[in-house]
Amino acid sequence: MDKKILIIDDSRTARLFIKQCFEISGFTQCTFMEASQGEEGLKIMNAQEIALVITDINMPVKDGISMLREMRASENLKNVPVLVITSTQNAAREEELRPLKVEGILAKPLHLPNVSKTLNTLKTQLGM
Amino acid sequence: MGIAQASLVVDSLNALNQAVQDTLETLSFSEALPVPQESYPPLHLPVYVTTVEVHRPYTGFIRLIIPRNMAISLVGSMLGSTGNLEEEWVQDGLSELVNIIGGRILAHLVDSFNSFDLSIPQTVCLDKELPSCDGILVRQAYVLNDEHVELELEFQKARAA
Repeated sequence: MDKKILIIDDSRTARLFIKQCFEISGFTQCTFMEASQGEEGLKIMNAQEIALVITDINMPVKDGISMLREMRASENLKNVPVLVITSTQNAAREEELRPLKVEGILAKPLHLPNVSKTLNTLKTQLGM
Repeated sequence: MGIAQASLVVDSLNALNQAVQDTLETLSFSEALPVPQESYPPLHLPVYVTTVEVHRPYTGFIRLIIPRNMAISLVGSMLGSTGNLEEEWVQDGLSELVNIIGGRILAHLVDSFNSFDLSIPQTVCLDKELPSCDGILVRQAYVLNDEHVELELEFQKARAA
């Protein structure tokens, strides 16, 4: 059965870029779902089994950090792997995200040669 | 202009050039060449203006001003689309572009152990008057794809909050 990957970003352009990047990287046996902010993402996660969440940080309504805190406090969602893709990446951001146990933090714009190692690791983790 | 202010301008300009060139090359395979502002005529209306506010550790904003036709062409190139683009895609594409450029500028300017925060970018189309440039710290124009179309980015970084 296809694994479900949820992309959460308030920009539809960013969601398209991320989806294309994952497809090119071999994430072909999966269904991509989309949400435009954290609250919408949590609703989808609570309704369906999601294999991987890819999220932005800076979003309206509920940002990525708040959403991640809720996920990690939830019995159902605490172990869902999360990859953060953000334009505000630096060492301080990595430190802020460390307790939230994310699989990786990638900076926008995604440049395939720079992110292929992280994506290959994720593929292996997901059994793809 | 004092030494600190001059240094800030130079740092900001370097960060701006690097961010614009890297981002456009990655997203649209376009080469953005910085050119002196005075070597091109004023932008023709209508233009799109995309603004992202900087909230921490500085206050200010980063603003992209781009003629409408150039914006449609640029976003089309980002999306790999040669057909007509819906207005929503154009505005969203510009917002994402400035979001990324803003993040890269701040990552360059701010010590890596300090957080920085940007607002959600906003894009509007102006057809009557260009935005005021009063108080702008750095302004830079770019030429893209040998089309001699001007891409102007304005950047203001105020004192630390």
